[in-house]
Amino acid sequence: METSQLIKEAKQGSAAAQKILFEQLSEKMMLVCLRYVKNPQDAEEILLDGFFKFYKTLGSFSFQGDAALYMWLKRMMINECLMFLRKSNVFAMVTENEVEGVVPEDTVFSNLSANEIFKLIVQLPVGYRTVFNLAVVEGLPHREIAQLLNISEGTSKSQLSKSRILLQKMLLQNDIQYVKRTTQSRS
Amino acid sequence: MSNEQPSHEASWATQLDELDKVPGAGFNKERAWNTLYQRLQPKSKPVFFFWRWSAAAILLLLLTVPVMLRLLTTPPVGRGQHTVGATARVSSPSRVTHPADATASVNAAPAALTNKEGRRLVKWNLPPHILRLHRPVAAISAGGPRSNGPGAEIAHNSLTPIDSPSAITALLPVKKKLMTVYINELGDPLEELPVTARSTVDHHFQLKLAGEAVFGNLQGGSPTGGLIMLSKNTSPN
Repeated sequence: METSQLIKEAKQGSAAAQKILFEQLSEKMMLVCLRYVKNPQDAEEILLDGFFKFYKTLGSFSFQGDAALYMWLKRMMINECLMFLRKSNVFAMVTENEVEGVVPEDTVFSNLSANEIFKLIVQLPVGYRTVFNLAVVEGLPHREIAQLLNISEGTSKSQLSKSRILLQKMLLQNDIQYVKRTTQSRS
Repeated sequence: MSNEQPSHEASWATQLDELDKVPGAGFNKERAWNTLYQRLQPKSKPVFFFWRWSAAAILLLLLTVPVMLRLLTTPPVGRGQHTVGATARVSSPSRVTHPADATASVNAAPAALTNKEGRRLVKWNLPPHILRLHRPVAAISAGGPRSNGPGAEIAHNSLTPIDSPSAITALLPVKKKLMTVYINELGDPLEELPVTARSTVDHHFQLKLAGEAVFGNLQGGSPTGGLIMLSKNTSPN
């Protein structure tokens, strides 16, 4: 069954169509939630809240393609995650004093797989992680990030910069074998 | 600090979007869907609670309204009502506060009750404050005939309120009907006879001859030796 037909039936309250949509999109949305909220239980709760709102507001959604549906749902999930972070008061800007380290070459980052990128992002502190996700993965400008997180643009830029340095440091410390392997393969 | 996006980060978004599986323990879709499905179902709890409370309220009304109506419509016993032998019955001794109430715990004779209120009084256990309002009564048998007329029944029971406990204990219980006594058995048999008959108190018979009364005396101890003496008098003597 096509996605447009599923959306149409889900709008009419068909539980079967809603279930198929959930099965198709839930895993990707769970990954989005886990990028913002580290705890799997919290991420699952946020996922369910997001899907609940998605089904409730489906009547106002006009289907314009699978990509649009994915983006719309992803945006809902991100908003839910930000709300959760604000509510739980865990959203604090972390300042790492010692984020200096060996800056690996771009080739090291470019050779990372999706799973490795995901694991690296999840290991970041919550403040860095949120800004990094919004800026790098979602592609939002700093002005919008500042509005979403109720911080200044300068703080957003600073957090992003520090998160990059921390990522490099983490990559070198945690996966030095990978760096070595990459370097060796290059030479 | 450089805010320029490195070249490798441009591909990260695409790589992360292509990720399909949650790393690690994974994600149980079926369980998550069941939880979500329960949330999506319309909650019927408020409706259920509404109907349950409504049913409870209606049931309570049905139970209490008839009792209240009966209590309100029942006139006080002992005020202008002749309920013969009707006495209050106190169900629980612990609820009795007045000694008169305690001694008034007497079974009423159902046959002696003459109206519905009397029966209700026996059936229902009234609370002490109502018992105090309804003063206990006792049947007092008549000491003698109140009516002088012939055939008048002396089964007249007057109801008088009892004030003292001793009076109640002395008079109650009254389980039997009072004996019916006819006036002829006790009083003067000639009381209601005609004037002519009453005038023969001292004579045995009276004849009328030619419009005049003739009296005969049959007394054995008379000086005539048993002969019937006729006298033509206007009066027996």
